[in-house]
Amino acid sequence: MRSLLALVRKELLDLRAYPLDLLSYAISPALAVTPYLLLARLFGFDEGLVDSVAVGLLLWYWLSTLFWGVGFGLQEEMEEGVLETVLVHPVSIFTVLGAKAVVTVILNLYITGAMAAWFFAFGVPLVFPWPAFLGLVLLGGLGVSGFALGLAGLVLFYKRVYGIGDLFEHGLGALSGMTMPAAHLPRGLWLVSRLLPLSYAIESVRRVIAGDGVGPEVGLLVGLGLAYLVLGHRLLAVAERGMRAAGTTGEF
Amino acid sequence: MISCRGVTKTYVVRERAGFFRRGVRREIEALRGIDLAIARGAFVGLLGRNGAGKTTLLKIVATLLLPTAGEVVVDGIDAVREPTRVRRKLGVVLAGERTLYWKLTAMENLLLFGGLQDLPRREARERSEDLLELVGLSGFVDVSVEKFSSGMRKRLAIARALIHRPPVLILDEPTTGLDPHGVEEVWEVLRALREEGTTVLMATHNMLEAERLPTRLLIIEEGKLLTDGTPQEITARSGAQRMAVLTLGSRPKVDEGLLVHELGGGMYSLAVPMGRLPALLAQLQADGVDGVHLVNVGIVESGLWEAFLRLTGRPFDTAAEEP
Repeated sequence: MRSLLALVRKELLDLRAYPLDLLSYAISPALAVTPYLLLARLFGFDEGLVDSVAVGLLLWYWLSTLFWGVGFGLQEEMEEGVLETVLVHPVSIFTVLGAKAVVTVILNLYITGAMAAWFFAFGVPLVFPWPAFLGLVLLGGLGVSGFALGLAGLVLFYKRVYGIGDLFEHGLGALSGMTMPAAHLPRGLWLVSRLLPLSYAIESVRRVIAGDGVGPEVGLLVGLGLAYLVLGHRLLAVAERGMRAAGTTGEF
Repeated sequence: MISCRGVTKTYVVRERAGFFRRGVRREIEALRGIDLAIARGAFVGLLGRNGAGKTTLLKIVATLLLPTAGEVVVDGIDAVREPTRVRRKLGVVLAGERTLYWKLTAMENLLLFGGLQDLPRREARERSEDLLELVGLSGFVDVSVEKFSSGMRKRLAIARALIHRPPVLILDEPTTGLDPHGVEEVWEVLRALREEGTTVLMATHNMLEAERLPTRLLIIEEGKLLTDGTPQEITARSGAQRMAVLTLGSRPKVDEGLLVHELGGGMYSLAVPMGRLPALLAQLQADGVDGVHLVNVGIVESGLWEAFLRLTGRPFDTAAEEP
């Protein structure tokens, strides 16, 4: 626990070095998703659908930042050249990534506040059930963490995997129904969406907004999420062992 | 305290690999059956040329690298099977300057790594203050590491490695790239650790460092330990002795066993054991009548330098050229 807290503190201290990044976090995410909301308004969708789009975007944003923050977390240490020094301490690589996840959540809370203010200014107040949203984010985070651990393993092995990261982020976003419910996807892609835990997270949160409560898909969300988490954990462990065997811990 | 038995390490590389070509597989044997035992409180230097296997051996002991075969035990714990437990016993300073978070201050770095060693925050802070005093950085507690000189970073890295009072300290070329003052400052810290009885395993290719700091020296070459002993024992065993290096303005006629090295521009160098110097000078003086003249005489002080070159198979006349 002390290791985790020390690493979280370090990540937060790092933010101090680049204070203008905090301004960027407040503006850029909102600017990225606002066009979708304005389009929804432009085509005269009712408020429920606008909220649905907003929540889909927000959920996707939360989980994609978790994906990048954890997946590429080790790349920061590799670029700084300090990964080897961290690895000679009695701290697991999963703890290092856990700290990245905690800091991502803290940053996401800040970003969400800024985003809500931004949406409100554009006439789209986010008035959906926040406890259910955060609960589903947590559950959706299981599966996304699995993908992120897998990505972190690829980073250890291949060093640069931005293309894979983009593919997963945007591919997962689109296939999970980020902007359009997955039910409207072509059948082949819809079948793929059934294998993605994020699909069930987005569908659940939309269901909650519509007042239908949490549906049975939450079970699939948790089950698939845990399966991907185990898979990601295993992939990262194999990659770490391979890196220690190949002697590439100091390479980037 | 540290024991290695039959440790080997083979790296696999692919040569001429491309986008659509796997390349040719090549195996590089970095370590070839290292057997080693280091007692508690010993200060052991690992001396070898670049690529000899020093860093590979240190990284295996530090659990950063897995051996291909063999056994490494630190304070009774198997380093391959229980690396996390071993890491609690070790303080490790790797080569290079990027072993700290540069955006953090000296104190923040020490508190972070203290946390990674599971130290309570208050204890880590007290220990950090003591260590910053020890390494002469108590006036730079709240300065970010990016503002530090190379020597200061290296001293802070040593403090970082000592934060949890490890019984074993591992150092990889701790003074590479430092100016003489920086080297002396690091040595001062290491001498203090030697006096305290910390077990140290230090890789170096700096002869002066190898001669002055360790109580025991291992010479490694092409992945094998060549010899083991105090610097004085190794020098004596190798037959190396203090040498005089003469620079001459023309080629002398000398006895067999003395090598003359052409420096260019009509200049020659000649290395001779100190015991034979008076006779040689007398001979040269006599030859001087015929045009051989002495330009300069220097003394090669480091017997270890010569011993190292002898043991690792470099020609002796090349050794005589070195400062």
